[in-house]
Order: sequence, then C-alpha cells, then structure tokens
Amino acid sequence: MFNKVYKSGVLIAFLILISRLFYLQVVKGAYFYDLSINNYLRILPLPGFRGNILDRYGREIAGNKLSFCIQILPDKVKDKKSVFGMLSQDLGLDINVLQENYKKGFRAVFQPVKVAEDIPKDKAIYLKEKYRQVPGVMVEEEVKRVYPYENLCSHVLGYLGQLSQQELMELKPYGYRFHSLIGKSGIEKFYEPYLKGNDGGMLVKVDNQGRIKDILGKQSPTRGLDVYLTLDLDLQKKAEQILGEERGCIMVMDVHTGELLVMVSHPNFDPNVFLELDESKISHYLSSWDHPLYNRCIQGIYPLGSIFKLVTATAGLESGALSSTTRFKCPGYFEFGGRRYRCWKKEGHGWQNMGEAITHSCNVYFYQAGLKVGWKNIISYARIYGLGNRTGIDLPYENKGLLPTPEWKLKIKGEQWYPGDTVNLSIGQGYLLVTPIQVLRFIAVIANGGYLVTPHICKAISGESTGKHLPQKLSVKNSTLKFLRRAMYAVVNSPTGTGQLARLRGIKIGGKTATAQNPSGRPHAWFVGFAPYTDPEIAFLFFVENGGGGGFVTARMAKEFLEYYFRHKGKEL
Amino acid sequence: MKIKVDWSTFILVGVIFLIGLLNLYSASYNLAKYLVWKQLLWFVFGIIIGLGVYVVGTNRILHLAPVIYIFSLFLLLIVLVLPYPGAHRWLRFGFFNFQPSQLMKIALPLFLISVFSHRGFTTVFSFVPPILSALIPAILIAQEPDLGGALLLFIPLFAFFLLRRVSFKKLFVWIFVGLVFIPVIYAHLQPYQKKRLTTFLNPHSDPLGSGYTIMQSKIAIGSGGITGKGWLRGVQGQLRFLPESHTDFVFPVFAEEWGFTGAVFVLVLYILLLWRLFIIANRIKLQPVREFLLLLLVIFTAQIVINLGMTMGLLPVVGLPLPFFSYGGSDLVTNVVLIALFQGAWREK
Repeated sequence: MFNKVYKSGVLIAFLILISRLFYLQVVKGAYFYDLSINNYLRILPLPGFRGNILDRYGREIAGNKLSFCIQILPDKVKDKKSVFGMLSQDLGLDINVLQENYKKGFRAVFQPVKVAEDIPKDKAIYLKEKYRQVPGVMVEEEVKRVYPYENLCSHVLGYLGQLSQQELMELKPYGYRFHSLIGKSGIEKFYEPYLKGNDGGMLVKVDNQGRIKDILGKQSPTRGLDVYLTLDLDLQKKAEQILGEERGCIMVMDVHTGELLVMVSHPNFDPNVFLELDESKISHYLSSWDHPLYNRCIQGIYPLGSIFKLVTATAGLESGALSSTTRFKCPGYFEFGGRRYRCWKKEGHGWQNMGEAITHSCNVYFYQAGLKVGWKNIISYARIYGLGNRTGIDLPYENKGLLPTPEWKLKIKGEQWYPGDTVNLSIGQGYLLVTPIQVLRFIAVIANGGYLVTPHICKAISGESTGKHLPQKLSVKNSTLKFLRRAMYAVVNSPTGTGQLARLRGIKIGGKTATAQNPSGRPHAWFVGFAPYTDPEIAFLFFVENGGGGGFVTARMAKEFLEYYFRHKGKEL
Repeated sequence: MKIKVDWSTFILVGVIFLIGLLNLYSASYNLAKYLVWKQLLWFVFGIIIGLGVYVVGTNRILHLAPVIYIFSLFLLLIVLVLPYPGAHRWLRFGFFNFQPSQLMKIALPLFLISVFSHRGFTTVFSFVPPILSALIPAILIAQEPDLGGALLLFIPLFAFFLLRRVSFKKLFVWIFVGLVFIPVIYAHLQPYQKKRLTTFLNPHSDPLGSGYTIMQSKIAIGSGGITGKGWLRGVQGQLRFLPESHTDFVFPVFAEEWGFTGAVFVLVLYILLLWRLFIIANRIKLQPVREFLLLLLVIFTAQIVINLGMTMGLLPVVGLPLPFFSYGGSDLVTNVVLIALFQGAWREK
C-alpha cells in the first residue's frame, strides 16, 4: 500500500514538474525570453540640445548651460519618506516641495522623476558621492536652455514648454518624447526644426539595482543649429530702457532689407521661468491683465490715427483726385451728414495745402480730402502699403489687423457703409485696426522709395544667410513718396510741426505722430519715422498704449533713441 | 568488517552534486566565488560523518533513536533562546553554522519508527503520541521562523501512518483537525510569510515585493527555452534579478542556462536516484530499518518536489533547498548522511 502510494505520488509529481517545465520553457519560452531582455536592457536617452540664438554680431541671447538635478527612480526607493527627508536636509529644500515635485513628475514606476534642479556643481559632486549607496536616487547632469539676459528680447526669443498631448501625437515621428521641450512662441517656435537638437540614446545592460553593467550601443545626441538674429543687442537694450515701464512697443528696421534691428514689446517676461519647476510664475504670466506674453509688435491690433493720413494723401495724389497744392479750409470742425467732426485744434488751422495739413496733422483737411478721394481709393492704397495683411515676418502668431470695406461692414456689422465711415477712415479712426509691424513697413516703403520689404528677424542659420526676402516694387510714383518724405521732415523740423520733440541736432529725420482714440481710455500715442532724411537707412516706430494725445511721449522716446543710435553707429564704424 | 556499497547510488549522487557545483559556480559568479569551495568542503565533511554512520550501521543508530530525538529537540530549543539577531535557525560555531532543523529531518523518522512501530492505532486518540512527536519540533522550527522546515516534518508523519496501515477514517479525523487549525497557524505567521502565501495565489499583486521572486524565477526558467543560454550566460542569475539564486532558487539558474533539455536531464537524475533508493529500502529485510529508510526517502523526495514546484510557481515560496544543488552546509551534510544511512543498511543486509 505504502509503496503504491509512494510510486504513484512520485510519478505524478514529476510528471507535473516536467510538464510545467515544458510549458514555461518550450510553450512560453519566447515570452519569458522577452521578459528577461526587458529586465536588463534599458535605453537611456541622451538629450540633444538646442542651438544658440545670437544677435547680428554673434552675441549670445539664448544658450545652454550644464546643470545638475536630483532624480528619483520610483521602483528603487523603498522608504520614500526617509529619502525625501535626507534630500530635504542636504538641499535645504522643504520636504513638501520635494514631495510635490515628485507627485507632479511621476509618470511610471520605471521612469525617473526630477525632484530638484539647478544644484550647484560642488554640491552636486558631493551629493553624487553621498547618494551612491542609496538606491533610486540619482544626481544627473542635464543641459538646460538659458536666457542670460532674462527679460531682454523675450518676445523675439519666445519660450519653451513641454509638448502637449496633441503635439506629442503629431511630432513623435520627429523624435520628440513625452517630456520633450518645444518652442511655444517667438524664434524658439518659428525656427524649432533648426534649433532642435536630435536626442541620442544608449542601449545599456543593467543589473537588478539599475546599475549599468555594460554599454551595448550608443547613438550620440546632436546639437541644433545656431540662429543669428538681425537684432542689435545694444540698440535693443537701449530701446527697452527707453520704453521703461510703459505698455507698448519700439521697432527699428533697415528700410532696404526689412531686417529688424530692434523689436521691443512691453510688458515682457523671463523665458527662464518656463524651464523652472515653479508654476506660479507661469500662471501669473498667463493670467495677468496686461498680457506680458503677447508680442505687441506683431500681435497687437490698434487704431492708427493720424499716421493713416499718409495713406489718404497717397490715394489722393496717385488717383489724381488731389494734388499737393489742393487746399481745404479748417475752421476747427467739419459738418457732415448732420454731424460735427472735430479737428484736434479747436480754433482750426485755416486754409492749408496737403503738405501743411500733414505737418499740422489737420483732421478737417483730411476729412474733406478723404471724401473727395473716396473709400475705394483709400482702402486700395492702404492694401498696397501692406495694411490689413500679415507682413510675413518670421515669428508666429502675427495678426492681420483690419481694413474695413463696405462688404466687410455689411457682413459683420449688418450695416451699410456711410460716407461718415469714409470721413473717419481718412484720419485712421473708425473700424481700422493695424499691427505696429505693418505700420513700420509702410513707413519703410515711403523711406526706401516704394519697395515693400518683408520684415524679418533671422539673419542667418548656422552661418548660412537666410536672405530670400526680395522687396517688392510698389506702383506708387516717386514724386508721391518724395512729397510724403518732405511732409514728414516738416512734421519734425517745421516750427509748427507736431513732431518737434523728436528733432535732433545734426541729423535730419522725418516722422509722423498719431493720437489714436480708442475705447480703452486715454488715446494711444504713436510716433513713426525714418532717418536720415536724405538716403534713409532705418524706419522706426514708437508706440505707447494709452500714452496720451499729441504723440509727445513717443516723440521724446524717438529722440532719445536716435541720438543713441547715431552715436552708437559712429562707434561701430 | 564487510564493505558493501551500492555504486549506482554513489554515481548518481556524484553526478548530481558535480552538476550542482558547476551550477553553483555560475550562480555565485557575481556574488562570491568561494561558495563553491565552501560547498565542496561541506561535502567532504558530510562524507566523514557519513563514514561514521556507515561504520556504526543503520540498525544500531535506530536503537539510539530516543536519545537522538531528544538531543535534536534540545538543540531546537537552544537555537531559539540564543540571543542572535534575526532568524534563529543556526547554531553558530564561528567558522561553521549548523541548522538543528536538519538533524530533526532524520531524528523524527528514527523516533517514529523505533518508538511507535509496535503500537496499534485502533482508536482516534492512539494517534496522539506520534502526532505530538512531529508537532512539537514543527512548532519549534516554525518559531525560528522556518515554515518550510516545519511543514516538512508532517510528511514522514503521514507516511508513517500509511506504513502502519491505519484506518483512513481515523487519519482523516486528524487531517480535518489540522485543516481547522490552519487559520490559527496563519494568524501566527510572520507578515512576510503571509505575503508569500498571498502572492503565491496572485503573483502579480505585488510585482516588486514578494511576488517578485516568483516572477523572476519563472522568467529565469522560461527564458532558458529549449537549449538554454549557456553556462555563465544566464542573465537572471548573473545580473542578480533572481534573489536567493545560490540557495533556494538555484534550479532556475540552471534551467536558464541549460534550458528544457538540461532541466529534464537533472529531473531524470533525481528520479533515478529516488528509484534506486526506493529499491534499496525495499530490499532490506529488517522491517524497522526498511521503514526508517522509506520515511527518510519520503522526506528527501518531498524536499526535491517542493523546491522544484516552488521555483516553477506551482507551490508557495516556503524556503526549502534543493538537495545536492543548493548551497548550504547543514542541508548538504544531512543529505550525505541520509545517503550513508541507506548505504549502511545496504551493508548490514
């Protein structure tokens, strides 16, 4: 009996064991083989890093720095509380901050989570030694984007952010990963494909503690291409200083090429903030009432005011409806259609020709001129000058502005176009909305003799010039442009001109002020112009939101800037 | 003195041990290569003791049963009261440690056979003395804590009742009593032991904790495939994903490196050895000696089957080494002595 039980017991037991072996090793062998490979093979990403962004003289505005961070491997840290306690003491950080960062950064048990960053090198070396024996705590090097000038040029540079879910889906084939940073605005976004480096990786064999035992393969990461901007860092700094705490923008452009030497928008932001773990600053930027992330130069749309009189004048001269000697009387107001349209000067300017009207920025003259020229001509020349269309600048999110037409008004407002709309339009009020960059280019057309340039801010990529911006010759007569230049000269230099505050000693310039009435309070202040008067090289634009009437604020800014510009240029040459 | 040995047993044990050493070399390759030499040393030590046992003779040893049993119980008590940190499994003698629970594996069958063989088990209560003689050391061993070692003692007890041809009805009464006490036993288990049992029922419940071992063990065995990865090439063992890869989980290391072919070969060697020992035991005319050997054989068999079953995820992880394969001095010496007891009986036949 015993023998029978024993024999059959052993037989059954070993049959089960052998069939189990057969199942594990033969049937599921391939499956377990894969599992064992997953156990010991890891791909360690070696992040590529972005190309630098430099000014036109090669000065670095955005670069990279080596930084140290602490990463936690979730599945290797047994006692999280004591590890965090230890780290908190060593780093001088609140334990709650570490735990919060861990919670936010956690993706999967096998993915390292960054809990602290920007650790000084000496400390990092010390910590690396200290935590060698603590499994799951890693002191890692990382290459981080850095913007040494912080807020300077921030709107041009843009900022980086982590890929959104949607972007990740689309960009996965281009080597982006879950945590990849991508340009979200500015040059960082527009030139993302050039700036981005390619990630490399290392195929490594690890043991049960995740320690690397062997390197089986390596693909080196690459660095992105350097982008050289057209900006001049010195001029940019000066312009930012001049604009100060005002809301507005300053731009300076080469009238022949469309290269922007200065592009300032304020309020601005510090792009470094977007690379830090602290999200409160980012949410401040996103929610602040004055929209610091918004590049007013290309995204802002504003009423233009008196500067538009140059368009009305062009339309009159080109269409033949008016000549430079055409005179209208300004008694300080204009009665039309049962309404009284005012001039900014209560007592009126009296009889004036077109040149005088521009010099004095007389509204009444242009009310009458506009009616004579007709909305059709005005809109058509505004369009020729590039208003109402994107300039094609190499920055994302450029706005179009709005050139109102009767069709537009009927469609959007449900009303027909009244002659009163033409009256408003001829002095740049009413429905018209422009972006500062459009206005600057329009001034450049006057200054350079009729060439519509494409404004741009990237000069070269990694030494290769991006010079494909051929200006387009416009069908505006030279005499017209010459007349406008002369009128703008008078604005600054005539004893009765509205832009006298911008007058410089030694250098002749042309300019035009504007006071743009708007629903948000005080009028916006504009001052645009070109310099030098003979053979102009730059066009400039100064704009302050709610800066008040008469363009005084902006004309003063222009003067201060241009003095610096010409001194600076003398030095440079 | 007449010298008579069963050579096929010797050869089988020798081959298994050599393969085990080769495998131990691989299992301890990244851990401590000297383990192979220590294991060899223990083997030699076991042979010396085994020679003594052989010379004394199994029959004479049977007469010493009560003394040996009491002595083993005493050692189990000693090991519990000694103030060592951690588990109380070993008597520590500086350069070598000894596990009294191993001695009990021989002492209990000895005691059962020599003391209770001639009793009739006609009433339910007549079962009590043999049960107590297994239960007392089992409780002591469980305190060490060593659940596997404790449970192992009930196997010769069961076999003993089978040999006595007791009535199944009465035996089942006691088995039923045992089952009733399972919750009580479970309540007294260490947390890690409970976890081992629950993870056996669901290995994925805690993939980084105690289910980890079972998972890694199955990965090791399975990834060996048909032909294996080759000696010293097993990833699971070499990169230490597999815990206890030189002791309880030494078989997966072998199965990973030698595949289904190698694993079945070793299983066949064990079957041959068990078969041979079974034949030897049955050829002994002297009933107490024969039955003693059979009980030893049952323990030996159970240990092999439980260890293999545990590494393959068929049984919970209870911590029993694989005879002649796992590293471990006391176990190896005990197994050599066990073989010597068979040889001793063979000589006296």
